[in-house]
Amino acid sequence: MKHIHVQKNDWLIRVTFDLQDQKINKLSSDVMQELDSLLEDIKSSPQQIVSFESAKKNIFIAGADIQELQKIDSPEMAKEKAHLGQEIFNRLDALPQTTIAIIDGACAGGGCELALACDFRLASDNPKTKIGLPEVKLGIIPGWGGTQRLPRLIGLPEALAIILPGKLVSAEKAYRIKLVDQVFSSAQFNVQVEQFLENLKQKSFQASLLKRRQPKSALQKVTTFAMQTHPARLLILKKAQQNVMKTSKGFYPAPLAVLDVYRNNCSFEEGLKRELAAFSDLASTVICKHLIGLFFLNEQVKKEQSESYPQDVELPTSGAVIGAGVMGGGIAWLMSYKGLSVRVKDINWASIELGYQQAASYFSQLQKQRRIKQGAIDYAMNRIGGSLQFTGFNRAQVAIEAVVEVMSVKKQVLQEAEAELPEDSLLCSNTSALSITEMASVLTRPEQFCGMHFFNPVNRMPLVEIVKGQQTSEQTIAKAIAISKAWGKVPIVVGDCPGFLVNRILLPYLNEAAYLLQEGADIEKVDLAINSFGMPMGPFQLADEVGIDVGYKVAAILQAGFGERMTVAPVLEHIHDKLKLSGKKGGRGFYHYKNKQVEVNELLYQAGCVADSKDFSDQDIIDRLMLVMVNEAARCLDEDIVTNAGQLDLAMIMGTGFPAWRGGLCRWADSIGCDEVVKRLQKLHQQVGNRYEVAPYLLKCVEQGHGFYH
Amino acid sequence: MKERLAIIEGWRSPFCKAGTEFKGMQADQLGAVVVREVMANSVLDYADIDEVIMGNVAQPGHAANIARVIALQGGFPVSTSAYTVNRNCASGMESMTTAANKILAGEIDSALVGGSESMSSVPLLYSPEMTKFMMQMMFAKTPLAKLKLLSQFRLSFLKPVIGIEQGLTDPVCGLNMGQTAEVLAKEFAITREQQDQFALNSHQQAIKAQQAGKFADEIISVAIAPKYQHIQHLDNGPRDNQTLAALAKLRPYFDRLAGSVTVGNACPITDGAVAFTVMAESKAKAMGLTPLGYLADYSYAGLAGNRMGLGPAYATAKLLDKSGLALSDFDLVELNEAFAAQVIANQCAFESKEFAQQYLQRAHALGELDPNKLNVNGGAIALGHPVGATGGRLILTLLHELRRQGLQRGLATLCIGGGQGAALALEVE
Repeated sequence: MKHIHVQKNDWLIRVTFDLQDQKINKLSSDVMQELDSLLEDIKSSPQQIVSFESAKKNIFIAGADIQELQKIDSPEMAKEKAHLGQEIFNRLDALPQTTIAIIDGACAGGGCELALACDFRLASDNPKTKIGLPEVKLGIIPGWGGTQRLPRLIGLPEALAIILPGKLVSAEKAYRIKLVDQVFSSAQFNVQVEQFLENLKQKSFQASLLKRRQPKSALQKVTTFAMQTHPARLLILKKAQQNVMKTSKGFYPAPLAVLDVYRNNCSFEEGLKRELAAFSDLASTVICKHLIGLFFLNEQVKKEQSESYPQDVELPTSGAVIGAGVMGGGIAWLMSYKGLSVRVKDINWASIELGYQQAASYFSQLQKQRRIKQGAIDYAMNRIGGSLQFTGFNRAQVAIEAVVEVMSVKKQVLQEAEAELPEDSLLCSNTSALSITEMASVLTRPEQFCGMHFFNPVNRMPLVEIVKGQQTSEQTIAKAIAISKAWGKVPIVVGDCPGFLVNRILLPYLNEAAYLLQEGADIEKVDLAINSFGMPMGPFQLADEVGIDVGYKVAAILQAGFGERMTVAPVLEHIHDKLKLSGKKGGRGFYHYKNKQVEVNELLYQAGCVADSKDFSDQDIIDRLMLVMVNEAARCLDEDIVTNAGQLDLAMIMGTGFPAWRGGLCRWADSIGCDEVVKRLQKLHQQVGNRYEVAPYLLKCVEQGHGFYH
Repeated sequence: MKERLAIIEGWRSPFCKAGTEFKGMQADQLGAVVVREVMANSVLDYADIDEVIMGNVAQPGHAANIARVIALQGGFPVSTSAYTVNRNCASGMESMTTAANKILAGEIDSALVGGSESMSSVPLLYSPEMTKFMMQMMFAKTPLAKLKLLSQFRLSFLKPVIGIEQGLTDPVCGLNMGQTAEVLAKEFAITREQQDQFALNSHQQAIKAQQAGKFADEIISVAIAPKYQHIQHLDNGPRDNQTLAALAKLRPYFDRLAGSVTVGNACPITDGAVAFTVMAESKAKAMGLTPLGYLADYSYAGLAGNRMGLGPAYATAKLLDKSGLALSDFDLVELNEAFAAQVIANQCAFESKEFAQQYLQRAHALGELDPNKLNVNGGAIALGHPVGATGGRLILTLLHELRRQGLQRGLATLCIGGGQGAALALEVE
């Protein structure tokens, strides 16, 4: 066979997945066909035991073929594909032999469902061994029996904990929740597997494995029984539903569909039917296509970057941060979390204290999620050393500046730092809007300097904008990309203009929200409309969260850079200069923050520049705020601030929380149609003013009859 | 010594009374902060240091060979070897003299030395009865055997052994350190008033030095784990408002009936750490470095445990004999203030011909300990005495003061629980 090899002796059939010309194993339709005919053959074979394994390093089976998934364009097609898979795995399940999956590496999605259809599973303790059902992340649900077999094996609560967030678990965890029956050291894996297969010949050994899956103590027996009752089941589902609504706000249908599959207590066969129906409904939806598209986008951006920039980069073991505080502290946290020793320099101890607190709070968040232990935190925090001088900078291989957004201060600080750093170190600015090229003008090694713009909060926001100044070398950009990736971030290379990419697009949106307020819109209504669009926060909530002072500073920089279309709304000036509101951190902004209560700051409606209350429809609000971003995105593409619409979309999703299920800003615009976007912009241009003057790039798109994506 | 040991640079943490700012930090953590900062401030690179030697007395259970734990946490690569020394109160000095021996013997070229102690973290222990009980419980297999054992349990088993108290008691002579100070107070007829006056003076000198910013030369600021809400810049022991009246109110602590040693005229238990980089003088010269100072010679001496406070007299006598120096050759003296009574007893012993003849086999007295040269920036009564680190602080404070005053040579000496003394001859040029 092409993709599956079979080895037989008198008692054992070893089935080995080794896809031809592929780095990984996946269950594409031709592989499934091969498997099907193989099962037919095995069924009548005399051997007692059948093992399923992989010849690929660090991969068992990565899942179904995502490209094939993306091609599903109707519920019928989805149903046909999933049904076939269900049947094949049912046939596997029904084999007269004892079946076992030998998992040494990633075992996800369809691969996990195959393993579930076996009688036994054993895994290696290889750190690459990860087992789970990530389908929900792609907007679908497990469709080859996974939703039915998993809870029957490990119980509904544990199954939901894997399926709903689309999680993969380590071998150790898998063993603990009884998803696998045995774990072997990867150092002696093959020897131990041989022995295990030998042992499997004995019924008593099989019985001992099965016994481990049963609850042990009387208490465990009682709770296990109680969990299986209908009321308990409903309670579990209710809790899970609340959780899903909290994290996804109901925008993502897949986890809800999973819960729906479990709604009724039913037989295995009935359950498969429910699974099939739910899968078929989801697999051809736009949301599913967008989520899968995003997966490919991620891969594509990685590929584009690796093609454009050299790859041989030595990763730093020591770093430095100039300017403590929230961002500086966050970056110091990231460095120390990733094992670097970090020097933090500021001009006063109070700021350094703030930086330490920021780092400590991110660590304590990790600790609450049980992703780090106290001992590791102690060691990591100890890698951070604060000082009023540049002590230790002579050993820093990467230094990131995060001082106040004032050009003259930045220039001075960068110059001082550069003099202390070793010759070959990378120097970056975390500026969110100021010109990298101008900062570089005072440096002696401008080619080793670039922007590395992290987003707040550093521990949650995956995006890093790598800003290329006029003199920045390719090697420097390559280094910045490699470092951000090693630190678990998603780097996007952007051009040097005020606000770079994300802030340049996002600030007009915040500014436009302020104009809406001026025209008499209700603050809460605007935020709610934007929430319903899928943004994690409305513009006013976001402004308060970021800090009105911070936002205002960036807005002013953009106005200076782009002129009329970025004119800061007078009401913002009023709030910042006259009322001196700073947002959430000061307790008052567009909202009042008192203890846990949040109320609209009614005072703002009385400002001189705010018109009488006027009703805007949700659609009007969304159009005004989203289209101003689309328009600016078009200009960014026109000016080559970012390579392509794909990278732009990825940046907006990773940097602003733009709803992933909409596929990104440009993808959303394309879903409306570029001609329609232009039409609405033209209307807004007439009604609202020059801020909506249609970007030439959009007109060109319409002319050429394509969207942001070709 | 055949060559002087160059002390390239050194820093210490603030000293904080046990149970205050650093109570959440273990000795390894505290030591690591200082090591990290010494290396960040150092002209040397981690790769230039051959070995890490740290002093520590309490030897916390979670960090066996604490020097190694400190070294790794302080940023040293795994390839740098490290070990811990323990000469009780002189452990901070022992690390340096041990390094001197190894360097002059040609075994290593350079070392990071120092000491660290978290007296806040010294644990309470189960009593031997409780330990035995728990062992038996573990071995009892059947429920019946367990039940039988349980019936033998007594509430008194739960009374803990206070680790710090145990640590500060000399097991050979059976006396607590405070009780040894009482022995000296009686031997030298030192009054309560003399002791309180000495303690007051220590606080006043320390406050003066602190306000003049002198300690800023030797202290690195420490972010306080585990919450990291604040950064500690200063020693918290010295009391600005200390008075004789307040000191007089305190009851004797170690001999409640007829004693004179109180918690006010004794040093407080304290958390702190100190570290230096050292190498042979010739190597420092060859590298073109300007060391903070030099260790010219040293001596340790032994004496009866119940008079351990007189260790400085014994060790200094030995040092003078060994080095050929006279006490008058020393421009400044740091004599650790474990107890006011103990320092005063040393003052008496140093200038007493009878003492010299009876105990030191010397014809003449060692010489007078001039109050104007002695502990000019206060001492452990005000600053505290983190046992594993204090020896290092004496060296650090002395070298900085010699430099400030433009003087040449100083004596750092301390008494060691268990009945020993240490004396170091230090020089700045």
